[in-house]
Amino acid sequence: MLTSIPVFAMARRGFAIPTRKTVPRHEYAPPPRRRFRANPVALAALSFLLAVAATSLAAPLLSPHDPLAVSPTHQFLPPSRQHPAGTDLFGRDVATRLLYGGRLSVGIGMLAVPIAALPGTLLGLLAGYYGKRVDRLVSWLVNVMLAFPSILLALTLMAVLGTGARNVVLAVGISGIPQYARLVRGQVLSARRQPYVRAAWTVGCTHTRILLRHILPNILGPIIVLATLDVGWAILNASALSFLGLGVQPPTPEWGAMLNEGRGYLRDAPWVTAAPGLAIALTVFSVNLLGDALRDTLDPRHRNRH
Amino acid sequence: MMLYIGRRLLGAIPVLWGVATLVFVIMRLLPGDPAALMLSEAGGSAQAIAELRTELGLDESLLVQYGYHLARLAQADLGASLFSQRSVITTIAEQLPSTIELALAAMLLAIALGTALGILAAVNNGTWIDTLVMAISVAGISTPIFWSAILLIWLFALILGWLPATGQGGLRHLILPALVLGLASAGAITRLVRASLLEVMHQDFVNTARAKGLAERTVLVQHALKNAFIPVTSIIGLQFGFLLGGTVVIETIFSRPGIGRLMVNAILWKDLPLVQGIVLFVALVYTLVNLATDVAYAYLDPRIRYG
Amino acid sequence: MHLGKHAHGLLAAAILLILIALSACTPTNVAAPTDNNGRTDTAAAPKEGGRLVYGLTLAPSGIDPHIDASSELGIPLTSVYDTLVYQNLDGSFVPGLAERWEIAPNGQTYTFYLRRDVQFHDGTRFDAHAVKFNLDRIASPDTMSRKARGMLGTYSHTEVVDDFTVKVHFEQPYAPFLDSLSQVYLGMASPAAVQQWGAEYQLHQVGTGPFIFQEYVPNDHLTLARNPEYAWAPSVYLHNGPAYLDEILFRFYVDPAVRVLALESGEADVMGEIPPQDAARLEANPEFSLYRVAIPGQPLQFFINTENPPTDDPLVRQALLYATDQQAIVDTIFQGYSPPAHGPLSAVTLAYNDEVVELYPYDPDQADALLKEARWIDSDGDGIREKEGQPLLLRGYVMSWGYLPEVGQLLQAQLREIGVDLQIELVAFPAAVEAAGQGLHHLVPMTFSGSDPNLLGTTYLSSNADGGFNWSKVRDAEIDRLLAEGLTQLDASARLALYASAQTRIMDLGLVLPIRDYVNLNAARFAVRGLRYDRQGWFPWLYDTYLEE
Repeated sequence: MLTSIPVFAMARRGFAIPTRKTVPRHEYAPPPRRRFRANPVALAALSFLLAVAATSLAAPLLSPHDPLAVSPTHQFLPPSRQHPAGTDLFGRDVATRLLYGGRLSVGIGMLAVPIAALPGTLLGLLAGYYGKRVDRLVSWLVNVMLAFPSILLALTLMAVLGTGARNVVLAVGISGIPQYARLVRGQVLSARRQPYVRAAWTVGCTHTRILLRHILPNILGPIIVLATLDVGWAILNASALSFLGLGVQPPTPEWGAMLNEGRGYLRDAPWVTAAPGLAIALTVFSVNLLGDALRDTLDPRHRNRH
Repeated sequence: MMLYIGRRLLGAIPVLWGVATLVFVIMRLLPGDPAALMLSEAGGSAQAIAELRTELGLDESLLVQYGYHLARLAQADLGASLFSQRSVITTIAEQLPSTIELALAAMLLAIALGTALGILAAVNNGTWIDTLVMAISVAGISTPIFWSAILLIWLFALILGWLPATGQGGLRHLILPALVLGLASAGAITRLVRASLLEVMHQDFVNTARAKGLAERTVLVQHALKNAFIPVTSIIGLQFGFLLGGTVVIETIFSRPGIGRLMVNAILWKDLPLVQGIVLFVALVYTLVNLATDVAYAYLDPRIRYG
Repeated sequence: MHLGKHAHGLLAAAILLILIALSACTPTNVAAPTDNNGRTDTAAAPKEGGRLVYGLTLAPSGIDPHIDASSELGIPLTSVYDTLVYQNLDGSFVPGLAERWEIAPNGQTYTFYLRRDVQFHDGTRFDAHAVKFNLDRIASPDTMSRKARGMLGTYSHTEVVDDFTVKVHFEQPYAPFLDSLSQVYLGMASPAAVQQWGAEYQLHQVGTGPFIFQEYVPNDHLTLARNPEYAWAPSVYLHNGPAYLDEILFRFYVDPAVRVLALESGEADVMGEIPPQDAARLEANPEFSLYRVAIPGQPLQFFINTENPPTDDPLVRQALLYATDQQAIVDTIFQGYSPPAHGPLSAVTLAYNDEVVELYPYDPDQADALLKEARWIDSDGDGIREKEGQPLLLRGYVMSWGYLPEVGQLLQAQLREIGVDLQIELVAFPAAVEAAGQGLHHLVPMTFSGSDPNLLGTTYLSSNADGGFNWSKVRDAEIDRLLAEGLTQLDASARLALYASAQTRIMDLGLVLPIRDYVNLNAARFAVRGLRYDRQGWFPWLYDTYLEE
């Protein structure tokens, strides 16, 4: 995609087209997939995330315990062979709840990001590229949204629609739209003046083509960085909503809710908070690593010597 | 440029109007009757609730209320909080300094730390320094704020006894909250600075500068950094929003006064005048911050010019 | 080089592990428990001087006792205001600012003979005109009083007979009047100060109490200083003359997890609303004293909606009551620091009828029998009963404070054992108020505290079923009659009988699911002596408090 139009244009004008055979070896960037596979950190992160996904889905097979079964006599048992992460206030096995909770927690994070990224990027592209009135309208909209602290937006949605996992996704997602719009708009403003855009326009590309096939791929880097950070933030925001008292419905296991529930028992039963906290941290961490690797592979000019 | 700034300020008015209207609509959508809520602790009878509702003017039609609303706003009268009966402006003014203190401290910490670490990592790209910095920054953004807050309080206030656990009033009380809030932000800025710098450092114009024989540091500061800061500038504007949201959690845990907490309570208890006042104020601040950001864009990237 | 690529992950993991490890390192207190609930140490003479730092919880939006309703405001302000009468811990009334009083035979006029030696903190004299000013202020619609007005009941007007004699007139006899008068919400404020400060009065409050209001910075702190002129201490206190402490600083600690940290790190001397799991540890620690104060009023309870099927069926409601194991809930969540509740009033409330304890003992078999009688049978073996194709599904709302989510989850598990599917919805308080008002719930929690049983009217009078807090939506003529009579009945034993009957009637109808009596857990450094709590349970008497160091 990146090289298609210049190559085409050059071919039309009779220039020599750079190919694998004509370009010196040391300047040749391997195709994306090969580079990704060569990056062990990325692979490790991906494996971890796949493991999280697999164990969450396979939770019933992996654990003999019922995540919802209350047994008050087994309250706050420290980690043991029978309960690898101990038990909580109700005697429920924390490790089991961790496994089941992974579905919701990771799911919330992953679903919220596209809800924020897609409309946000679209708005940013339109505003930055077309400028003038479109920019003013979109900017007005984005500014009004930005003026609302995301907490208010999230609270409102939760309060109007009710609590529960689905509304957490919506609330966190929608409140993230302005970020993408602003970022993309700024990037497009810069990119618009670049020579390759001028070149593409000269060659006769339509605006849409320029936007989608020239500008967008070039600014994808920061967007992806933001998106991967955002998955982490989405998970953290969802747990913040639990902190404010509006999250998933009890007794549904979810990492953020578990984190909040166990907070008061930090001295007596630290494993109740430590386990979900660690789960969130490691997952978010892996997602971020993965995002890094993706960004590297998409931008051949950036030789990240990892 | 002056013309541009002037036009932007003028353009802020429709935004503020949009915000005011949206707040009004949202408050109507939220469940809860302020009169019942106000009497909920005392246990008012149905009759008392009805009387209070009338006294507060909540019985009027929506349009009438909206009209009163806008009329008062036009006179810069933000009204009085339903719950405390005190002027909204006074209430906000009381709580504001603490939040500003916190947000500024956290922001400065984040920018300073983030930039320094980002530069460090980019310049030492591929070495253990780079890895360490990235590890710290990612760890910083991966932990939930309220969890790290409790842990840090526990470590510094209880075990070590170096810092006070809660409250405000002075630098000592500010360190922990600003640290917790700023660390998460710093992580994001670090990564962005590093990424932008790496990207920029290999671009042609930088190579040109190098070829010209300029010192690496000059190359770095004068050319690379300025360009790298463009996406960072936009992120800073957004981080401000994140910080404000974060102050809610921080203010609660550290028992600091502040408008974050004030706002959440006002929303949950449907204290419309107070919510209105705070949101409008925040909107105004946002507009100014955005304006500053865009002006900074122009300064950093000479290719962008505003007419 | 290759190691460097992995170090990224390893390092961060290490950092996180260190954080986790830190969180697991709990200091252990091996000291033996001692009986150090700081009752007054009469052996040594109280020491004068010192500053006490008292930890409050939520900062209320307003702190004018005549206007606002928060119990949090009462904690500092009980020391700023005196009241006309005081209530002993046993419920009897003793003179305060009023030396003696007479009640007219028809119960509609109270005559108070006031003390002549009392001054407000601003130097003005306390007299009958002040009393009239205060009561009129509370009763005035312009004040928009949230709580104090309701505590005046059928108040009509006040008549100044002479400078130190005042008559208070009621349209109908109002039995709770003395109880109301004994609370800080009807504390006597300086008319001069109220008139001078207007809407800002709450920041400059002036009373006659043992401490003077210095400064209030909303959401941050409130300071009181000793009143050197104080010489009119009522008999509920242990000494006369000025208080011992120089100064009291009240600070707000919103987050429960931080409260104990603040106490243990020395930031606060006294802390309220200690979480139960921390209370045990503090009790065992000789450096701290734990105060368990029972709160009169309603217990932690769930109202059962009598209009919403399936709980419109009394058999179902009674089954719920039999199926609830309050003792287990108290043990699991409250670590045994609260007694289980079985009726609409907590055990320390005036007129508490202990017959309610026997009404619904924990008996799952009985619950099972009742549900079968109501024709709820588990026909498809999924663990939940059905009737005419509908599952026995209940919707319960909980708010995120007061351990309600935890109680809800345990209740859910207990009800599941008898085949009832309780779905919990965690909502913000206003949403709960709205939903309950509309009757969307089957179970919803709500509590009103107070020493006088007339508070039952708020939640059980039929007039409050629409637009009020009668969330069981009960409209029962018998309950209405009993409560109405109880309000006007001035004869103590007759009153007790009326409320006793009301309590058993409420439980017979299965209107409420009581869980536990509220017990306020306060902790203080051992050096804090002479700390006691008043009849309402929330408010400390700091007049006799001193620091032993």
